[in-house]
Amino acid sequence: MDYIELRRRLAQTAPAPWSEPAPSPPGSSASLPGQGRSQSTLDLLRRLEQVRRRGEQRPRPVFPSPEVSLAERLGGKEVAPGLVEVVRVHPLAYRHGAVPLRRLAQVDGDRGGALRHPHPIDPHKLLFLDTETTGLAGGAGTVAFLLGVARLTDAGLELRQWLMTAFAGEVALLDRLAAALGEEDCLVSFNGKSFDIPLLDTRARLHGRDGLLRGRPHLDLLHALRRAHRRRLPDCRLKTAETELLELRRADDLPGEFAPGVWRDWLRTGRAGRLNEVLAHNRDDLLSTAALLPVLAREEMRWGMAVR
Amino acid sequence: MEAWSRPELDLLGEADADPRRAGDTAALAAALKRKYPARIVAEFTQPARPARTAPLPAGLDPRIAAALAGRGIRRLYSHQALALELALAGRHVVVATPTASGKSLCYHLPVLQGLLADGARALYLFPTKALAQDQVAELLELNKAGGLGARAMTFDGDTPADARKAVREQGDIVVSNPDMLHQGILPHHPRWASFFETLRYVVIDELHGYRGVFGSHMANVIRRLKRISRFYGREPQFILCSATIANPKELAEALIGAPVEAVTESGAPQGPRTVLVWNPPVVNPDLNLRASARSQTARLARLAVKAGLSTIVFANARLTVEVLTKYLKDVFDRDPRRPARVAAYRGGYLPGERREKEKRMRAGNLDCVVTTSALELGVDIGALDVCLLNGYPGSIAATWQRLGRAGRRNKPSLGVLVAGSDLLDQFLARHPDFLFGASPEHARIDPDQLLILMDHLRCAAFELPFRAGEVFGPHSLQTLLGYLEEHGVLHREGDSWHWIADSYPAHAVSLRSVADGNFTVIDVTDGKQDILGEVDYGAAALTLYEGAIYLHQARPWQVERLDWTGRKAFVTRTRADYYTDAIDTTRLKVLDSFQQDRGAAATCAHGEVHVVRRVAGYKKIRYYSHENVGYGNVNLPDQEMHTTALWWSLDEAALERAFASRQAALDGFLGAAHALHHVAALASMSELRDLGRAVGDGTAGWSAVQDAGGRGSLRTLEGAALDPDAQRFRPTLTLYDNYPGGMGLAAPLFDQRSDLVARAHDLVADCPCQSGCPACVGPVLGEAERFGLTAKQAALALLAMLAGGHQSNSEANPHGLH
Ligand SMILES: [Zn+2]
Repeated sequence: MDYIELRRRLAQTAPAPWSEPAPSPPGSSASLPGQGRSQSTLDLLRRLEQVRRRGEQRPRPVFPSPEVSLAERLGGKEVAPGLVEVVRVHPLAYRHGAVPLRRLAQVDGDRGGALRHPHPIDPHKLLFLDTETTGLAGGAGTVAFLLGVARLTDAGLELRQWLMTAFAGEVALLDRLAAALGEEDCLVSFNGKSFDIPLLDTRARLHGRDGLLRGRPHLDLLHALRRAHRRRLPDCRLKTAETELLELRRADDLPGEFAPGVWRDWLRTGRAGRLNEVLAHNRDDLLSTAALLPVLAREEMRWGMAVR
Repeated sequence: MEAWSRPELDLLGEADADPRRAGDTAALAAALKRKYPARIVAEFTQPARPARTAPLPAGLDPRIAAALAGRGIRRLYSHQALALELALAGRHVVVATPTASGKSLCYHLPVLQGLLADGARALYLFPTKALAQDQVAELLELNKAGGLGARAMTFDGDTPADARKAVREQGDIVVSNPDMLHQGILPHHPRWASFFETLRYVVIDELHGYRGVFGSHMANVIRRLKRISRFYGREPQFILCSATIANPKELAEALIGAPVEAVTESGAPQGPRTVLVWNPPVVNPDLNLRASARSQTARLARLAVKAGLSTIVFANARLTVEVLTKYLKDVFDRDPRRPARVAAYRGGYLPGERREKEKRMRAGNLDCVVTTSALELGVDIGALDVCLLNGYPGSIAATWQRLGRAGRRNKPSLGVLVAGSDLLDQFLARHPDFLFGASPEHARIDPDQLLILMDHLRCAAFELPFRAGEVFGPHSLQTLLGYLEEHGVLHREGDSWHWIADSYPAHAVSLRSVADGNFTVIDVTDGKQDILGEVDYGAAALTLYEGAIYLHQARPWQVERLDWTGRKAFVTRTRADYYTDAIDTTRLKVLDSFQQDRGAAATCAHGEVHVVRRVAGYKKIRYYSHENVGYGNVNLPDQEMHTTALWWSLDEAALERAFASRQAALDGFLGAAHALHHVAALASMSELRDLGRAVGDGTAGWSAVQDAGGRGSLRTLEGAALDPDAQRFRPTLTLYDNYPGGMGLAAPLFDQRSDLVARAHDLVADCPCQSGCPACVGPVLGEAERFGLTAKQAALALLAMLAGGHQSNSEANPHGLH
């Protein structure tokens, strides 16, 4: 089949590939053969024509180098091709909601049992971690395009974010994470056990970096929150914990579900758009996770499992 | 109709069951032939076949040899030995031998050898879970007998989340199914890294089931599997097993996209087999109405069981299974204190229940089992003496596979195909050579079908970024990837294309055709929840719309609600004095003609068409008077698609010469379409529903539908009646590929066009009916003649015109062609 013929057939028969068939409402007949297959032929033809006009043989430049300016705009620097690093330090006196970060430095163990962590805790050996991803579906096709980690240092809480500005930056991102992980570090996340860590593990395996995160001790504060507050809070989302436990109300927050779209726009157009807000959102998530730890470390499991 | 199945109407006479010759199939066959020569329209015998064996190959691990010895196996059948040798030589192998010839050893042995020698792992793919459990059971027994330590683990929808990790990391042999590979394993391949890194064998059993749309999907899943394996540095070897089909090698090669060695000579012993084709007696010669196949099958089963023969009965619908089971249980299981001798086995039972029945069958504790296609696959139930087929299963391969259920090693077996009343069954009853002479079906797939390929291209792109230079099917990959990029699904960076959409494409792609699954009709009268019957997918839109009168054993129910996705219709008992008739229109427009053959009066062509099917509404028709007493609306969406088709159109002037009126010509078109549709399905070895048929004007202006009397009328898509004499009249008879984009049926049918028309003509001409019946031109209920022609004569006249002859009206008689 030649090219023209192929395009013609695609235009006539192909469904719009971006529109995954939505689950059909009861009683509807969305599963009839041929349903969803018809398509505005003219529209598809026009799009395919554009593909052709753009010249499929001509490789597009990887990136002209807007990263330099992007890095500047985000207040970071390009540390590898396709990877921008942004570093922020919040002093111990900084209050996230009602919680001063100093309280994190004072954590020494799981006092109430909500963390289920029987060992002493050295707050300097905790690595807080949060990702922004291209989706929630999981699997090999979901990418963590932004990884933020936070660690307590003498200067305060140091937040380090790595933003992929191209897929070429993913290996460097994983290597940065490996370098940031101390031998004895314990990971701390909010819902990382079932989401961020498996996803990063998948990315690492795809790039031949098996075991990057395997066997790491990991405190998932979502689980701790459930153990301690399940009966008291309307739900156990981070947002709820922020209002109820940290007395924090985020101003001008870009909701997390918009992050993938912002990043895709960047890839397509090379325009920064609201990427700075995505980074800010990720930093807030990290700060909330860090601030929740001292709160939860003192909580007893009275609301949940303590009965047993 | 039901009268024929009443026990008191003893059409067969059971006096022939001679207890002194118990357990002898030859005696039963002889008795049947003696008493009912007229009903047996064909007999076919397969001679006994001795075992051909070969020693275990020298290189076989001694632990495997010991395990085989522990199971009583010291030599292999020749096909097992050959398959093992080829597999160990690194070749892809397909084994196509009859049912119960010990096919699974053909893959268990190389897999175990690879595991013991190098720790190589294997993936087993079975189309159904029941089958997977069976083959694993056999593997486990071998494993136990030899202390081989192989860990075979099942990974399917029932595997609990906390057990999945163990399967991924420790399973030497992972047993799964295509859907799970497609949706659960490949998209998560990094979790399976250690498995893929050591994967050597991929086993695909029941290869013959991967035909049509399902097979085309499967071929693309395998493209993805091979691509992922390459990522982990492996090129797995495929071992495939098939029931007898005409082209196992071709199908296997199309499925895995590589050369495959075929092993087709079975070395397993086989007792002699006799197969009879049984046509129920005619009870109404005018209507060509025969006694029901079901009553005949029930009698034959009673005779066989009374003769001490273990018997399996296959029926094509669940309801028939239940009815036959009831008839037989009424005879043999009247005493509830004694263990049952008759059991039904079909889909829809719980797994435990099925296992239990399988065990009882294997142990010989059942005398008769009644089943649907559920037992056609390789579920092990041991060997039986007699196999009865209630109706033609729809394909030659399935017929032989079912018949293969009967036959012990050294004992003769008997198979009887009891013909039903519809066209295909009656065609086979008249042409049994088709069943015995012809090779079985060619299973065909079209892995490059654009829609299917695009579905899997998206899944593949999700699994790994595409790099320039990769190949995925024959089309220009750059164009296809560019297309997905345009739609924001992929992002191109340098020479790779990355998935960036927020979705999991495998969840949106189902490997199984959406047109699968019968509709269950549930009687909810007075709060009941009784299952009344089943309607197949193709007929559901025409018979189960809300408001329809659903007739069951000649009593009326009304459809209250249709749950299309749940495949259920809820009905209540009614006293309506009318029946309903759907106004079903198929509007078809020719988009492009690839090739045409212009005859004197007829033109045949194939190409692309746009099809819109709509059930626009229904008419209420009073019994006896046939007066129209009302209309109702139907709210089912249009079924719309682009596909490929072949069509015949006739010159207006020629039609006017041949038919007294346009109306008569329409009758001819509709009858011819019915016959051609069936003949084309036979010729292309596909199921009826794989092809659609339509009679219209080729430009979507009108379509012809059969009215309540089985005669043609013209309709717009909206269902409004048109006067045929007031329209431009160039009718077109179209057979279209009933899958969006087409599955490649139309072009080969076009090549056989003259053969199709000739066969359809013979079929109608040879039909013993007077004026047309369901076995030739479709149901004809109204007056026998209109405009001087019966429906049968009109169809014959039309088919003669399509064949190219210049027919005048006077020549339009049932034997006009020759
Ligand atoms: Zn007939």
